[in-house]
Amino acid sequence: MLNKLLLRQLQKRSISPETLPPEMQSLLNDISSSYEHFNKDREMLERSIDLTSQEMKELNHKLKQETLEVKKAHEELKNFFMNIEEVFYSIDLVNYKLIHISPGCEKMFGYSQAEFEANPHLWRSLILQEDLPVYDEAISNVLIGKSHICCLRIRHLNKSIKWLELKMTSHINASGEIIRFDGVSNDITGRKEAENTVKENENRFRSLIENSNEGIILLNENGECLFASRSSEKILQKPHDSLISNNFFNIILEEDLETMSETFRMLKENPGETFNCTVRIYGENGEVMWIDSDSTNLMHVKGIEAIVTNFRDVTDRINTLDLLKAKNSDLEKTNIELDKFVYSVTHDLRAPLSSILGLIQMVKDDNANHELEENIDMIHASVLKLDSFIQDILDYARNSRTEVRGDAIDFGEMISEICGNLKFMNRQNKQVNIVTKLHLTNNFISDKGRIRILLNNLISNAIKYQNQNCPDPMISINVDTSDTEADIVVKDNGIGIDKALHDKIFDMFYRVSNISSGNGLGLYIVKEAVNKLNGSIVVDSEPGKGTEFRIKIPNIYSQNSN
Amino acid sequence: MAKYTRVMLIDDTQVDRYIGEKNIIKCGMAEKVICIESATDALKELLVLSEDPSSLPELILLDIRMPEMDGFEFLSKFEGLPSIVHERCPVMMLSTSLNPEDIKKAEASPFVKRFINKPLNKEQIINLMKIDLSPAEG
Repeated sequence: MLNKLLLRQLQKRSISPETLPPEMQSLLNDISSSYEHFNKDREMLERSIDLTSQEMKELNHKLKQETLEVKKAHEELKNFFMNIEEVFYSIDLVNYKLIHISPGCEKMFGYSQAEFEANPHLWRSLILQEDLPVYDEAISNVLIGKSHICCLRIRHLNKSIKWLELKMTSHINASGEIIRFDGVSNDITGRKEAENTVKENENRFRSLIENSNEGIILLNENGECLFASRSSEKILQKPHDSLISNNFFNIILEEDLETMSETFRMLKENPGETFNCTVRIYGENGEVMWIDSDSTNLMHVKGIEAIVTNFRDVTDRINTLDLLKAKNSDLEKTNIELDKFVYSVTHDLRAPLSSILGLIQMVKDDNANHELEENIDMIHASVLKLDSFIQDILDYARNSRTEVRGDAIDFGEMISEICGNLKFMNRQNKQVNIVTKLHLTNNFISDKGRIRILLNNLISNAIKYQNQNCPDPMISINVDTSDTEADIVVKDNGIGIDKALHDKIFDMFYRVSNISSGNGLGLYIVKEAVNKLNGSIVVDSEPGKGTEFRIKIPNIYSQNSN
Repeated sequence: MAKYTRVMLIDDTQVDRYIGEKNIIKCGMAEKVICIESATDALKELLVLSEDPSSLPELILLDIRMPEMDGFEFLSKFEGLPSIVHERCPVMMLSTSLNPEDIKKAEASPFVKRFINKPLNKEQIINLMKIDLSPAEG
């Protein structure tokens, strides 16, 4: 089969292949088939060339990409190198020349790359004198091929001191010679300062613990001592060795072992909570010391894992307390004795007086002699005065020394009792009309004895100092009680007191005039009693018109319930 | 006619016994006052009188402050006397004491009916005579 191209050429020449001689035909056939082969090979080749050029393109692209990346990385690295705070440097040991130094040097030292390159000794000159041995040791290590890390201080151009950490590595060539070393220096001033602060704090706390008057010990769960501060040795008067790993139950007095065991039990059951206990221990010379302690179970806290106890010597405090208690009970005893004494003395003073009064009464009843009766009346008045003085002294003594009591006060009963007792107090006086008005709440609580003292004094004064010219002497007693206080007003139409003297009438032994038959104690005692009851008293009086005393006494009932 | 036949007055002070006796008789409180100067003697006398209950006093006036045995000691010994004495003889305490403790102690005794401040004058006696001391009152 001839190929088309050959056929077309034959047709152009108007040659029919069949007309050709057989040799020619066979040749043409061979040519045709060779051509076909060739054509096939050519096509294959062309395809293969196409393929190759595609790959080449891709490869080329990739290469471009990679170059870009390398460039970028290089930029980054350069950037990193330029901007990194650590300073990198390499030194040529053959020529002793700085090969390069990273620009961070400007920030770290205050000098530029150029300055470092120009002066090979600049670097060493920045190191503090006292740290030079550290640097020299590092260099000598590097020169024998060892890597080295050290910390030293340099002085910045601006005079500030910086702590640097240096890492140095040496490079060795193929023939084993050290040709260069590389170094990184790192500013660790901040870290060093923090370290120093930690160290200072630790020192401070250590010295606090060591020098404190409080002892601090760490105990394990059996009571054995794991740590004892120096102050513990001082307080417990025992050497350190005898404290450590000694069981604290061993130095405690037998009587207090139970207290200690109980505290330990509570500590074990309540981690993190603090318990106080006071126990006695034997001191160095066998004397007993009181130790007060606060313990916290910190077994669960990592790094402590112990019962932390701080303690103090309270022997003096407890001894003083015991002494005070003894003194106090002595004082109480003295007070009771004094009380008894006052009652006995007043009783013994009054007993003969009452006998005299009884006798006077009898003489008066039996005797009709006018003059004698007058004399007897005078004796009677004097005796009454002496008797009331003795009672006043007793009231005063009781008021100044006894505690305020809280009794329910029945004003009605108290006032009628007082008025009953005062009815016959002064026969020269006219009968006084006493009008009592009460507005009372259910509970008024105060000191019965003192309330009686002040009512008794005010009412008896009102009777004593009545106006002889007044046809109808009268006293009005008003008592108003509320949940918070009692408002007591005792008012009379008696002789009255000059305003200028109002400030003085409450003074001890002050008497308004010679006419007054009192002893100058009555109102002083009233004032003192009012003070003891935390109350107040005011007087309103005018000569010839009368006197009004107004007393306010707090209701203890309301204070207790609030 | 006096209110009581016999009143016993126990007081160590001679003057007070004298005043008391005079006023009691004068006011018609009693026909006879048995004056005794110590608590010990009074206990002995009461024991003797208890043999014949009709001769017991209908009222005992007892001073508190007395030497040897005071009024309160007397009261505790009084408890040991035959019960007929307790029934027949109510006690009134007599004193110049202002000590509230004394008054409290006196009121605590089942035998004491009143606490009276000395002197035992006519007014006091007249007031005392108004009090009904019949056993029914308790």
